[in-house]
Amino acid sequence: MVLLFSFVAPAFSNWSNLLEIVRSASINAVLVLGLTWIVAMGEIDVTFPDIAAFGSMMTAIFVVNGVNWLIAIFIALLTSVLFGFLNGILINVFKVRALIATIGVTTVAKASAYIIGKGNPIYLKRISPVIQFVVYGKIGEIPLLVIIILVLYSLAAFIQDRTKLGQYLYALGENRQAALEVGIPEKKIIYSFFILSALLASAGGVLLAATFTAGQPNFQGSYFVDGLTAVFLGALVIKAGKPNVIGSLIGAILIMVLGNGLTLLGVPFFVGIIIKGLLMIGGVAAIAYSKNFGKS
Amino acid sequence: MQRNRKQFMSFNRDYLSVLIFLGVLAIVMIALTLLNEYFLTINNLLRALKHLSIFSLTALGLTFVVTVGHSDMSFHFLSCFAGMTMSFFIGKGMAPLPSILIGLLAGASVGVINGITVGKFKLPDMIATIAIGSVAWGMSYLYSNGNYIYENFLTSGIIQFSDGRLFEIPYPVLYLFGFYILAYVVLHHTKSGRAFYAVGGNRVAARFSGIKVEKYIFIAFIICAVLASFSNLLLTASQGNGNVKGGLVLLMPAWASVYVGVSIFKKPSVVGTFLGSFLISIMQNGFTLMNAPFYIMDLIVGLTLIAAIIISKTEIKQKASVGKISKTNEIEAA
Repeated sequence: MVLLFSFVAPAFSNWSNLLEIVRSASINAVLVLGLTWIVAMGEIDVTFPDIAAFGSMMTAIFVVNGVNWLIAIFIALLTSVLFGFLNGILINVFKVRALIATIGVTTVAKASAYIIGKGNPIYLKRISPVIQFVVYGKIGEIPLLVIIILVLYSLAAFIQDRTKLGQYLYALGENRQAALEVGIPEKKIIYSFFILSALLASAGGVLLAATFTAGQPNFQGSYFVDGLTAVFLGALVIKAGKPNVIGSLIGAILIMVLGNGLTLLGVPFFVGIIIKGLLMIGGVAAIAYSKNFGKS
Repeated sequence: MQRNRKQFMSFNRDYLSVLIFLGVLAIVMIALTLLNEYFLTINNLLRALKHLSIFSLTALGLTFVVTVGHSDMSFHFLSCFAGMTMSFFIGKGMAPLPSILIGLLAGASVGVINGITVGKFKLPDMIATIAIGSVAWGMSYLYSNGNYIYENFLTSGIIQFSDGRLFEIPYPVLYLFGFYILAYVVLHHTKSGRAFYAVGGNRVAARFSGIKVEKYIFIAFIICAVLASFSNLLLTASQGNGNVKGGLVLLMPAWASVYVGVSIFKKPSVVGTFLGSFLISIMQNGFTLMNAPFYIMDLIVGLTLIAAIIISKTEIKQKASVGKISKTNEIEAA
């Protein structure tokens, strides 16, 4: 696909354009990492776009009021984790389906993001040099952000494939009943992954705030559909139909390549939405048939 | 004797959640009346009902999908497609009624695809409907490249669809009660209504007792799609323009209404959905009267949903201590 686009739109293969793609894909990759595992576990989390918005607003409000960037980010991450924890409580203690719990929590997160800025975005006058360096800096020719993402994903891949936690995760996704009977601590796992997902979503939000130099209560974009498409495309690419982190990273990059390529070709943006939707249906269908993934 | 007692207890508990709910509703209504003298007037209540009708009808459709044990995450997307289809034909100068029908047809066709994908091909419902929905949403940009459509809106009479009144009662309120009574009769007093519940309760048993499981799932998705489209057509008519993002607001309130209903009656039901959406809507109306900013509406939806989840489960756990529950509940409501 990269080759195809570079062929039809020469601007695509421009080095700075490629870097820009990889950089935006990295931010998306942060957002979908937590989601990947939750989907692998057979649950769903719809909170991540709103928690990202909340994280960006939290950071912005503290920075505007003169708090140090790093402390502001720390507070933003910490408060966002509360939403993940709330998800966990609703699912574990009150035994409600993850979809319902996360719909409830996400509306609250969204409203909180709006309340922080009284309905408006918060514009930041300057970005701390450290954050600036994380988002835009380069080591040699490679953006620092990309290196961070690669490290993060390698770590995640290690956890997923080489530790007990990763095996528990897939065991829960494959056969919940059997997993419970062998004594896998389901509740702990649900808590930890929903909290992790909120933390990563919020971190993605902070990065977005730095990119837009503003805290946004509503990121105008299709992060939700993009995120799920990345997860399902990724599941299709590697590991025969199981959502997994490396796949999601590839999925996130593919989606960015697609979006960027179509824009350069001058195709209206809604065509991108349609194509992504179709890709997602294709991904789900293929997974369902190869693995009997559906619960019918 | 023992069994009778047990039955009595469970009967009591079933009523308890309804009583708790009505208590909460009463407290909310009284509080809003005290805070604002305009709240409890006929005019305002009619306006609240008109506002309610839009997402309450969406929630009604979703009730059917939840009853057959599925989730639909596409109805808000496909309602945009229906709304834009109608707006496009209105803009081209077509009369309101055919445009409305074409809009509904457009929404229904997406519902058919949902039904086939989930019912027949058994793809995971949430993900498949999100994907199909986003395709439908992308298609709603086709008509105007994402721009507002407002040609002919004022002259064609489409506004009457939402703003017309029959004996002083706004049309949307009539649609609301019409659809709800119809749905109530179908879901709770007919054989096919019981079949919907059977499919949602125990699919294997339903199949063995001769119920065509796929057919009911298919129908539920179509009902959901049509009612969501209908709601967005009302919304489009009342706003006086076609907007590609207009229907997206329907998602959260509809899910919240259905699940408040589930926590009252312990299963999805027409009455429960109505009460759920009524509670949410009346609070939103009250806050609008107090000039609360728009984002408070989301907060109300989210907190009501979370509170409903918590209340319904606490109750099951502490079945014995009746007094305790209503007390904690009052505290939460206050």
